[in-house]
Amino acid sequence: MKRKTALLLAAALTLSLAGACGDADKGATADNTKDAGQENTDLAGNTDREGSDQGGSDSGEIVEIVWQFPGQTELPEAFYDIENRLNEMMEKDIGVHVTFTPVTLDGSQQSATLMINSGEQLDIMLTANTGVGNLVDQGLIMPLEDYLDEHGQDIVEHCGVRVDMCNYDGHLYGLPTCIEAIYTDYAYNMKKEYVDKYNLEHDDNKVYTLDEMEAMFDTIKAGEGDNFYMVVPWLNTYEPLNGSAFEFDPLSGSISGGVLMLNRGFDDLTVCNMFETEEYKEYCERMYRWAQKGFLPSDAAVDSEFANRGGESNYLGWFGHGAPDSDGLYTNATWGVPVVEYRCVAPYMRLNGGCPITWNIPVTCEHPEKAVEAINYIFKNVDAADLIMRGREGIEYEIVEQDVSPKKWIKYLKEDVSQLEYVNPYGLWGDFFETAELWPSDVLTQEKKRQLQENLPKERYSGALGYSFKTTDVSSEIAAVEAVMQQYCYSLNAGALDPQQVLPEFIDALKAAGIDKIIAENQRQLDEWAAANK
Amino acid sequence: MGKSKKGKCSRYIPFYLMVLPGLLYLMMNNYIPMFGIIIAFKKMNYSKGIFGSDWCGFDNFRFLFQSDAAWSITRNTIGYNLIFFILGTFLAIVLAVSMNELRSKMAQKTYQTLILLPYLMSWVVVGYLVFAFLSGENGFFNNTLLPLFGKRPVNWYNEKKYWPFILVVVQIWKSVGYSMIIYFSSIVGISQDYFEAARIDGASKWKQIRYITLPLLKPTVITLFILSIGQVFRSDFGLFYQVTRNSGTLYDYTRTIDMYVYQALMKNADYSMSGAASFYQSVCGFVLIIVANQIVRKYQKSSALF
Repeated sequence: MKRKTALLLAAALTLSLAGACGDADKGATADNTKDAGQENTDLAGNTDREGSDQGGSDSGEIVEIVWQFPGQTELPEAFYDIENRLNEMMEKDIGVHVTFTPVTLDGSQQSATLMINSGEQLDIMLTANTGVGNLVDQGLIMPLEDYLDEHGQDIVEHCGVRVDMCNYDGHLYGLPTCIEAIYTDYAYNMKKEYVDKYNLEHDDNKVYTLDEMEAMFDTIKAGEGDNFYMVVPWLNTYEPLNGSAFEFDPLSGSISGGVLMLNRGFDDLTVCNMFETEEYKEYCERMYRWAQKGFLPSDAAVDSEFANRGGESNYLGWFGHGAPDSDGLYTNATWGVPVVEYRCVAPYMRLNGGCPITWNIPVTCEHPEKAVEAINYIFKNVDAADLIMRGREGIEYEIVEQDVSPKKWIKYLKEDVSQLEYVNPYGLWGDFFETAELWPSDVLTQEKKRQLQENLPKERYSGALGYSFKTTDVSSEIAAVEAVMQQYCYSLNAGALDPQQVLPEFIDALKAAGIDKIIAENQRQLDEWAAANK
Repeated sequence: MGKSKKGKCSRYIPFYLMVLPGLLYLMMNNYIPMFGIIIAFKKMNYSKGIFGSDWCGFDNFRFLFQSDAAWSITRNTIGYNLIFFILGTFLAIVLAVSMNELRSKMAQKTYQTLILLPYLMSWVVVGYLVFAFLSGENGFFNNTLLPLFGKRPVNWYNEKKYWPFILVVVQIWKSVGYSMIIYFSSIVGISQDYFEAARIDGASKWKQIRYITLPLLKPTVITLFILSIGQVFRSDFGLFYQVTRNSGTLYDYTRTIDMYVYQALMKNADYSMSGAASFYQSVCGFVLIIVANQIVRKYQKSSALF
């Protein structure tokens, strides 16, 4: 008897240990940002409950909408004030009270999956830089086409073709965020003081080759010496030089699903393994060479501060977002010094897994029509969009007098933007062509972008626009290929590895993980789609 | 006979009642959720629910063995765990025995606290401490120590060959204090009579350790061994992710099963596949526990767990 009890206890103890460790592992897997995010949710929840009580007593019909908010996961006090101000507008106009739950741009899907599974309320989630395919396959989000006519008219009006690019498997599973440009336009953003100091050529209308960029870097490196860097590899995307190396279209939104090499021709519908192409090889060799020359710091592949590096004093700039001209560069405002643009790839339009950043509505949402209406509201009400994007008048910004454009032109009240009480790092809210223009950018910057977009020739449109890759049958392969990519891509992007040795090894590993099968499946679906949509 | 047995049972009833809350907790927290392992064999669809989703056999396990990473991740997971256990146990015992020989209570407490301190640190902090040593631009090794010996700087986060050593050193530095306390408390529990008798017989300090302390520590070592063998397929995510700064170049020597699952599924958060990986780890761990316990039973029955 005693022995049996002991045995039972021992077994229970072992299992509980095993169980506890299992849980711990899962916790660790769901990275730190998420924990921080959840803490903040609680905070947000608290502040908001007060608000909704007040609202409820007035009308009694306020619908609570929990909305993912991409940005920093540690929110400042000012954020809650902005949330309250927004709710004042929304409760009055559409009877919705919003609670934002902060997420990182890349972690949004993961954190949404967790929230939905654990039964937490979540009404609007974000998908960023990846497809909605797996969300649909797992039945996590709902189709929205039925709500669009009645509750989403302003979305259609402001986003146009972008709404169609949210289709997956014949249904509308996402609503577009109105990021400023739907075309792809990346460029090297260089601090102007170095252009002047070294007397470099600069022309906003020219497309520079990477060789020309390298020659400039050589000159500057010779003058500035050690501990001065030219390139910041972005550790949140695998795209070569952040899109500036060559034109391509990752059909599924990730390179793992195969790409169209648009630099070879915009009507060519051959799905390629980008990592096997000559273009990629040449790019890797260039990165390796640049690292040897000291254009990149030696820890670039593991630099967790990459997103701030470009503005630092021992960096020349980075490959980042482009604009119609240098004056319109986002980095001008954020780095606090004049920046000029060297465009390496002419603007073009690609599918990239459909609309790159979309709002989705989880199946657990109780009032999808209200959720769509809330998204719609931000497009409809420019003041609401301005509030989320730029903060509060008199606290974050002041209005600059002008009589050129009907748009609001604003100036931040602090020179160092990070010193502001509230700052929104992503331009995901409202119609960018209508929201306030940010000084020192010209008040007509967005107008120029709108024109550039409207004038983009159809020959610069990827042939696959409107297509969506259904990944259900190859999800194991995609998981395995993604793991291989994570092993090699960042290090190759940082020039930390010699491609002579590593690239063949990388390609072998990709093949072993099944990339060929994914690409064959993608090609088959694309051909079917092309035949049906001739 | 029957009566005495009955009497015995009733004597134990209060004890069973005392166990009851704990058992209930175990049931709710650890056993009932176990039915969830079926999602490892399902093609999850949240609109159909866990029970309504379609079965898909072993499909969810495929991604684990899909690429040639399967071998290296399994080797790393098991290899590191074995090294951590063997070296960690050895050092913890050495420390515990030395600690026991310290006469000054003050010194004992001070050392104990200092050695335990790293155990209380978060892996994120440890990751940055390691980075302070290894960073290319400002690291202590590259900028102070290596130039002192006239050596060239090393690009630590790109040279995988150093990492088995770095990881072992970091893990042991962090964890040894905790296991030392377990062994130390076992040593303190050894009756002083043995040592007294040994001293009277003229045994030296070394002989006392060799013939009294170590043999009496054996059951503790064996118990901890069996418990840790069940964890041999798991790895400390903090160590392998934070300390290596998730550098891809090092994966051959730093990627464990947990890391692989994280990387493969980070983008598409497939719960069935991660459930499958977890299931695989649990089953392997369970089998290993049983086997290890059988071996221990053969060798020393009283030390076996069950």
